[in-house]
Amino acid sequence: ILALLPIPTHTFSPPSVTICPPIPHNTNHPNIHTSASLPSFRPFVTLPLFALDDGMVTRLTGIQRSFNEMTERLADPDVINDPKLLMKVMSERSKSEEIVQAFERYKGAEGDYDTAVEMMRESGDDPEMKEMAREESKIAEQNMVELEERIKVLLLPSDPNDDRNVMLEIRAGTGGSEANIFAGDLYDVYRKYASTQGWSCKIMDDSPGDDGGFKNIVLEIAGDSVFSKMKWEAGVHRVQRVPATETQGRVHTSTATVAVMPEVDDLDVQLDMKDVEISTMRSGGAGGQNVNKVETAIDLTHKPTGIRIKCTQERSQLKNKELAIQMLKTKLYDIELEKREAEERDRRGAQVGTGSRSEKIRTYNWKDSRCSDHRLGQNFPLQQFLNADIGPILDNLILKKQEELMKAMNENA
Amino acid sequence: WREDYEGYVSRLMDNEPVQYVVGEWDFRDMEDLIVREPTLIPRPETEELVEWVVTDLQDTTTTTTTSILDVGTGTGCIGLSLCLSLPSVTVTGVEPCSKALSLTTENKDRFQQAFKEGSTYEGVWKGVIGEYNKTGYDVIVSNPPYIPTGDVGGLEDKVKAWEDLGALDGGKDGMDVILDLLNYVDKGGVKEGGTVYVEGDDGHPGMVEDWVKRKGKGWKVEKRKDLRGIERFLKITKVGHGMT
Repeated sequence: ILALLPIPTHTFSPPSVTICPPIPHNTNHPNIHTSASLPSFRPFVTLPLFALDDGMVTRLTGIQRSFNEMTERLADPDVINDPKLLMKVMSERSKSEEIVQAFERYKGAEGDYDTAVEMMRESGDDPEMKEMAREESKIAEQNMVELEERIKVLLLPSDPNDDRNVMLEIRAGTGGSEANIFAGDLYDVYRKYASTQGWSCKIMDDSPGDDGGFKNIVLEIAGDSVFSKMKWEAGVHRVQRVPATETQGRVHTSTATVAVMPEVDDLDVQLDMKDVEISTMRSGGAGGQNVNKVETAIDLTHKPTGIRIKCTQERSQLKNKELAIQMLKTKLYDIELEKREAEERDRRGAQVGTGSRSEKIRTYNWKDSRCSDHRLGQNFPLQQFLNADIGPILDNLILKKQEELMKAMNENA
Repeated sequence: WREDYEGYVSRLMDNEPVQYVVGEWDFRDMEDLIVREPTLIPRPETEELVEWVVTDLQDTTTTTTTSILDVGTGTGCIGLSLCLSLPSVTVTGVEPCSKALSLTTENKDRFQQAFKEGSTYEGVWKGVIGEYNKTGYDVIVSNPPYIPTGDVGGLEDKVKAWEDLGALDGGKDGMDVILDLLNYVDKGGVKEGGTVYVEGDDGHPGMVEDWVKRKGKGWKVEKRKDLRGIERFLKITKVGHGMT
């Protein structure tokens, strides 16, 4: 009696899959091996027409091999005793885990299918046996189709920045005080959302607005896969409501711009300290032993780009300097990233990444209690957004991106 | 809690430095360096001084430990920060004020476990550098008193009324202790090829350069500005005559 393959209750978990240019065929990608290494698990029966093609199988077998190697490495004392290396191996391995599991299940389903077909052939004149075998083969076939779909999604190239922490900057746009207040509202939403995700949210710098909110606020959000989710918030947010400062009940339209920058490793950005001008924010006066200086603010200008950063977070001047340099590197990396994405967009004429920074992504309308995401062309309840329940919006955005990528992949295939 | 709070507020209203009220403050990697009246509260400029030393020493690999003398330890911030940033250094301190000396020891106890591999803080000698007899260190670092006596009266109240004037007053042109230090270096305080890093007041590095020239020493003197643009730091490399 064949064991029935358990069918997963949901097909995939969107947040683990995201964007990047597809892998070209002729790379030395570590997961692609030559056909000489094709395993011999394939039985002699003819394969159903909907099976995974050879290229895919080769790729998947390679991934499984790497996965097994990494599993072995986890038992290696050299790895165990080096916490950084251990973390790296563990995270590399977990990325492949879902694909490997899906592949195993697929192979299992394929085996079931072959066994069922065999049974059908051998059942000869026994109609009951034949019928049972046919049922089994149908179920196995269904599983294979679902798993193939799932594997294809899991194999979609992912954005290399997805795992990173972010610097999130909210800047009030047009609308004066009301824009500042709106920037503050967005800050509240993101702060709450970060908390529900178990992320830490730290204010790096802020310029409060006179009537509330912020002219500008920079947050550092750290935790698991922050960029993969927060990147969808980048762009111009528009609000239509009667401002708190409005005396005559008129509706105003204001904007705030959100920039989401993945945090960088030292290797990502080349920063020549000669291009950086650093000064403390209080100029003039004797300094040193002459004064008690509590405020150790740092003001930093990157001469080639004109980027200016001030940092007042820490009690130690050195720490403020290190933080300011980190923020500068993050901004420089972000500029590079935007440049590259703009090039990709021009080249492919399609959406890559999350669109340009100045794109209007959402409008929040108080009168109609709705939040419209223009990329999706969909409305969501305003209160849901204000309660920081932005998961549904993000899931839809991720799904849409996946569909686009799949389509592009199929067109290229 | 309310009594504590009101106590803090009244102290702050007395113009007491907030660092003394809190009792701890940041210095480089140390997030809770103990600070206590009247020992001088570490200045941000001194972080820059230590940064210079660390950057110079961190790339040199030696098979033996580097001996460092911290002249005028105060809270101990300079020497301790070096032990926390560099491996295989042995730091000794010189400090005339007993209150500062015990504060240095308290901070040493607090931060000892976090010292880099092979680094130790040997101890603090009570007295002034002019009377210190041990010589031959690899590196000397100091933030000595450097305010000219005439300027002390004009210091802001927050400094003048609370911090140890002995840690601030450097004599007529603020150079007294620095000169004592230079004489100590001359006597062999630092080995041949050894280095001396000093923080001073605006213009002191230039004055030291002149002194070295006048005395005909072949020592190399480098001057450096702080982040506000004031020429405050100097580094002497003790090279003898005939050595380049």
